[in-house]
Amino acid sequence: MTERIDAEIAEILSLTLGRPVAAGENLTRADEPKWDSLKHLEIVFAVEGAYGVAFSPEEIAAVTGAADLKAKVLSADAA
Amino acid sequence: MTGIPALDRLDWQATLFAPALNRLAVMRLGAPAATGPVLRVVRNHAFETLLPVLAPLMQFAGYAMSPVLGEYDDSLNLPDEPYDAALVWLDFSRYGRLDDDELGPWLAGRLAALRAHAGGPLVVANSPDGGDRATRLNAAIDDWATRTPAAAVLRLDRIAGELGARAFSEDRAAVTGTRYGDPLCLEAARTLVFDVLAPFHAAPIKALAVDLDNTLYSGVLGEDGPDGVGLTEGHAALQREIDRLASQGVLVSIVSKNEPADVQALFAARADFPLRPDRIASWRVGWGEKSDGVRAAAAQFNIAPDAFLLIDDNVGELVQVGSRHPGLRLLHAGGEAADTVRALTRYPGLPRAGQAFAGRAADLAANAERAAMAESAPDEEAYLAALKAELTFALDPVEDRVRLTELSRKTNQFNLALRRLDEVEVDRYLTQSDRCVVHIRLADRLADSGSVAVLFGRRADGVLIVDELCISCRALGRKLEDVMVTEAVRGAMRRLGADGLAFDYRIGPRNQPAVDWLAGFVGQPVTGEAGRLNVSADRVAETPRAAVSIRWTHD
Repeated sequence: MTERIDAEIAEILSLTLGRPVAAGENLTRADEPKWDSLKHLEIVFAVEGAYGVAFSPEEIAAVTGAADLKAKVLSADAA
Repeated sequence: MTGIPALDRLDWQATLFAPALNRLAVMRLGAPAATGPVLRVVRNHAFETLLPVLAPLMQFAGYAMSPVLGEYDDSLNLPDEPYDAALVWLDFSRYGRLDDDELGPWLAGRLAALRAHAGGPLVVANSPDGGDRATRLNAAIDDWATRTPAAAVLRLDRIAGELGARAFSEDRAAVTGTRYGDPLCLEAARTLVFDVLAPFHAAPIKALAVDLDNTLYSGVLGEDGPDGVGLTEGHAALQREIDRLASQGVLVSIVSKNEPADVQALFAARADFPLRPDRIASWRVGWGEKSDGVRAAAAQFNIAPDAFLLIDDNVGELVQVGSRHPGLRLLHAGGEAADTVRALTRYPGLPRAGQAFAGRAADLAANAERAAMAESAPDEEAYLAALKAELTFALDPVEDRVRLTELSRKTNQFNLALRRLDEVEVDRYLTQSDRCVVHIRLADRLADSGSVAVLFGRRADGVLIVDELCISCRALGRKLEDVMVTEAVRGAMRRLGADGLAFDYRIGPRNQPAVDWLAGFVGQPVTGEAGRLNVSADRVAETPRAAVSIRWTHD
């Protein structure tokens, strides 16, 4: 389950940022110059569409990297 | 045309016609950013997140545009940079200081300024908010679009109505730059590309090539028999949609690997089929290649194979026909029939409701009889007398603007100057005092051919310059070109007070019939890539032959 989430989040990041991202790699906004505010929204919206989750405004702003995206998906799954 | 291999198009179809677009699935298509004519987005809130979705949608639809976003601007100032089309993307909730009675007129004034500023399609996204204020505003936008050339409405109110609460993300607006939720933005992008801009930019689909087994019904005719094949609710809906398109003038051919006698028996036996055999303009049933069937139907319809949409459940057949006829559109009917219906309903390139000529199939069916009449008539005069052709000429018919534009943009064989006028340019010919338009309709004793020709003219130094002359291929072959042009020119010269005549021409890859006609009409060769031929006004002084009935409206 978590492997699939890792793989799909990596795919979303890779497709959005135009660079390879390994499954499970905790890529962060600070690490990736292409991860600007627009790409950030695209990433969040893609995760929302893929998993049927909804980020609050605060959660959108608080996402710093792949790990936060995965945590949101897992927390929604647990709920 | 689209640059998407036939096999890949089937995956794209599943993603792009899904009930709701999924951003990740769209991203997986890997479409590069579009480059092409500039689509200027005039806006006061965020549009950025729609951009990655526009490119694949446009690529599938067969056209490309480069979206350029303006700064946030509530006052709707005119863009400084040139553009080819514009989208007005406004959050109308930001205009709270304007009364309900002020907002519509203010917007209409700004839109009029935008319309005057540049040609090309001008699209306005209406208000998705609901309530009296939005309803009145949207009515004003609809009214403006009806009156304005090349104007269209992106109906966000309809999308929001279907999405319900998911249409908005008010609480996230400070972060996302818009009150509109992502589902609304995604569907707005799809509607913009497939439904609103496609009629202006996508190559038109003029005919359907439809498979039978497991496409038009469930089952295999050769195995199940006429009474054994199934008509599910989805298949019935598909047949109704094909019937609806046929009623709008889209030609329908059956292209199927079956025994012709079995197919005949099928349609005779199945009175429950919504699609009746009299709707089918061409039957290509047998065991040959389907690409040959499409080619034969195209020849019968006098259109190119790339004007077809092939609907088939067999991927191999789709790929085979697609590879033989580049540009031909494909619709995979391999899943649920309801999915096929959803894709067919909004497939880009199909005509807008109420715009196409419904009598096209009947007119086409009459061609064989016309050919026989021409063969048996002792001379041309006798043929025309037997045909009982009726030509109706209309001078400056503003209400026909969309059709006149279509004639200019879509006529290939008899298109003399290939100007490809857009609606705004056509409107200038219709409304300016030194220009005029003659629109020609044709009927004969066999069928009504509808709108078939247009002349765009202007006066310069007392001379009528025929800037453009287009005759639909439906009207060719009836030896009526001279009569049509002569009478149209006479009317245009009267209207403009001209006493001289000249034709502009441009030689392109497919308009040789027009060029040959001009050479014959003026009695001299047409040379060079483009130019202007002066013609003696005496050439049109005589009344056209009496064998053809001529009538003027709007004179």
